[in-house]
Amino acid sequence: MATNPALVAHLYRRAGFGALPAELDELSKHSWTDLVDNLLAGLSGPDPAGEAVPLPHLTSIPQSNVPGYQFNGWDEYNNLISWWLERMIVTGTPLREKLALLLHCQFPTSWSKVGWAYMMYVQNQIFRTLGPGNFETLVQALAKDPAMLIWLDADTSHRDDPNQNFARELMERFTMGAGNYTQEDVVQSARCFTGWELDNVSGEFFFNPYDNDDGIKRFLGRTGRFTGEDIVSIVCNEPASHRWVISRLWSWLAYPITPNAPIVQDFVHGYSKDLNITNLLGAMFNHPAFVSPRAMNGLVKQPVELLVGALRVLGLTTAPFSPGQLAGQLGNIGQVPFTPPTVGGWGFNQYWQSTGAAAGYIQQAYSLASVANLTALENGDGHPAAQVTAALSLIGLPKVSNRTHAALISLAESLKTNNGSWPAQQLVTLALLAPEFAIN
Amino acid sequence: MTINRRQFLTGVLGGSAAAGLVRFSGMGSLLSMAEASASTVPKNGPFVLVTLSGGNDGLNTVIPYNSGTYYDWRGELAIPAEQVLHLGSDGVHEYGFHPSLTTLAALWKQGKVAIISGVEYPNPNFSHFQSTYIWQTAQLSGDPSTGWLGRWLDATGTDPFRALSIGPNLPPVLVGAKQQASSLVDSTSPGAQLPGQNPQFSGAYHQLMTTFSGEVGVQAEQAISGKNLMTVGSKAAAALSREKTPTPASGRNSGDIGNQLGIVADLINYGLPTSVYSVDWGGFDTHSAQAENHAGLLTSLDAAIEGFMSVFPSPVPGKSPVLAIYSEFGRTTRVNASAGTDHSSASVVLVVGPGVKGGFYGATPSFTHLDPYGNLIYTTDFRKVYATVLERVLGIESPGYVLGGSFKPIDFL
Repeated sequence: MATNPALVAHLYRRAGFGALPAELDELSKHSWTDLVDNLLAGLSGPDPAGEAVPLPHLTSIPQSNVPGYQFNGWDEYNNLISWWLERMIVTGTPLREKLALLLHCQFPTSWSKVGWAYMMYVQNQIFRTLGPGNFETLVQALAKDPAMLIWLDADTSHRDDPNQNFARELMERFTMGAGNYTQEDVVQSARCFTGWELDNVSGEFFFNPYDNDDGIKRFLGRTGRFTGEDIVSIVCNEPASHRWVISRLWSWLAYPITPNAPIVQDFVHGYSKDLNITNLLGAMFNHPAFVSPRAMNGLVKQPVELLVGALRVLGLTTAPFSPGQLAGQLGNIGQVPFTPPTVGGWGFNQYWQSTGAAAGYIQQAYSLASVANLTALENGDGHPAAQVTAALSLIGLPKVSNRTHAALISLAESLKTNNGSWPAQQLVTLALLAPEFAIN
Repeated sequence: MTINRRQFLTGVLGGSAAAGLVRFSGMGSLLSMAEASASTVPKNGPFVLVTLSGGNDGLNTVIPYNSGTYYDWRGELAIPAEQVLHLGSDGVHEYGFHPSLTTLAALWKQGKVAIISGVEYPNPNFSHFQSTYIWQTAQLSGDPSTGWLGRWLDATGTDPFRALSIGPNLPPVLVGAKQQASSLVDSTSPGAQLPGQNPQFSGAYHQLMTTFSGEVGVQAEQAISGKNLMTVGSKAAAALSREKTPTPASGRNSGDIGNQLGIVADLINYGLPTSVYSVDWGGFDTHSAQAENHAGLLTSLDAAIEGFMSVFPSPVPGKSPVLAIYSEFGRTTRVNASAGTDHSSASVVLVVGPGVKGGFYGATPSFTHLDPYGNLIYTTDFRKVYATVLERVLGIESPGYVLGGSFKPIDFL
């Protein structure tokens, strides 16, 4: 059974970075169920196209310990950003790359404090490999992840003086949300993570029993000689965590909600059975509300989603851009991969609709249109209506408001007197700035 | 983010583009509105909210240098009495500024600095995110809410000039249910060649970003952000190309906070009809090796204030900025095992401006009666500071609806 192309486009924007106009025809021949199953299969299947993106040189701690070894951390950071953007562009398993992005948003960790691009890469691979599986398994791995250990101050947490940073954020941002634990729960659980260290020679997690508080703790109404692993297991299996994880994913895939939103309940039963993210994603895509008007019109693209989608429809990769160029533009819009502003991460919808972001979007759209191959428009007959149709078709916006259409026509009319090849760059820039293109 | 102030925004809508935009933006009517309301401008203003993210160490910013308890708590991190910049007594302790704060100490002597002690909210939250959210929303529960200045925006129309933030991501404080502040960003990254130089493009962009009558929803919000950019951006670009904010005479590096406050100084001096500015600067989460880090942060802050205040030596209507410098919490009374301090509660708010009534306000928290975690217990509800700003800078007679209750203003204004 075929699927409405508009719904296919919606699914592929949310579960990936958008289908190309040429791909839509083929995808639309399939049933919704098959499309969803295919996306889900990609979560655990091979991704030859993505794997083929060459990893830039990234320095590990052992490498850096070699006497005389020098490296440029800033270059490694920018190269790593380009690497991930490139993977998002070319991947054959778009849902896996999308999930990695959403997990980065869920466990916001910044290179600006971690300082090692290599560690950011290691964490990124955890999202890719463990993200689709059991949520507790993922959090157990992230709790010992070198980037996370640095980010939330494991090095300043000692048996005699536990640092509460990781324990608090584990509950507040990563697994349960505020209001589901007390300050005493933070204090007690922080004791459990003492002795969790980063080994400065190997660059790996290291358990130091001499700096670990193995005493009895009271945590969320339970009493025991809890370890850090116990704490992770307890919080991931709390009902509050079920609601939190569901609400976060739904907010990025459908429309923003809180953990108390009624729709969360529709997923609790299934998710609480296995904490399996692949199953949860499938349930979300197959929920009627995923294609409701609220979902279709209620979510603004995150800047990374918008950029990758734009690069894809324009037939671009990261290649034409110098290291740091795309990151710099994203910085002006407010979302640089590997660089969330705080452990609170980024926001939704209105968060991306500041005037400052609007300025950043103009700059970015013009930069992309400047390097894209726009021969079809440049060699067009210059007739405004035909040029506008061609520009909208190029970026995958078959239907736009009268406002957007009129604005594009007025620009196309003002451009038609140009001699030589038609100045398509400006028209495509404006099309990329259409409010419709900002909607996920 | 780093902002190169001279190229700031002008690449987006600068030069001839700005001129091209004025045609569309209704700038004339906005200017006349600003002039018409000039006679009712409160004596002090605009308001400049300075957020020090990470939790600034209040005890080592305004130092109770004659308290033995302070030295017991702080050990190696304590600033010796002979190094502090003396401020006098608040009736409880002798206080001194951190030695990095030379400009603030000089401004204190001129009566332009108010020190409000013991400011926080009940039941302190030690999470950066939650505590920042509570400070910025003035709502204690930490549930999703609007910013306190966002609610002021909701109640005062739609003019995009009313509040401006530096940097693309708006802090929660400036986001209301319907309205949000405008924000400005740098446009200096590579490849920032823009179509704004073309009036045709600007005109079409304006058309693209014009909402239908009664339009709501995310597309409308997207359009409004673009429209407001044209309105605010063209004016800001003009301001920044004209004004020349002096760098700190001391020659100290004021860093990113200096850039941000420099931009604000330019916009105020140019006469933008803006009542609220917001800047945000991080790095105050000094869990380890605090002594050097904190001194560096305070040096940049002090240098930034030096540059900023040199533009506003005395009160002039519309150009008597009130800087309120706060952080989401103070730091633990005791030094930790890493020569740093951890998240805590009550701390100081500094208010600086040519028309500010300098002195000590609030009340020093008890050094003997601490909370169960050994933290200082607040004496002054943070919403009193906001009530003061709302009534005496923004001219709101009864700010209870913004703050969710009635709070007595403090007489620093």
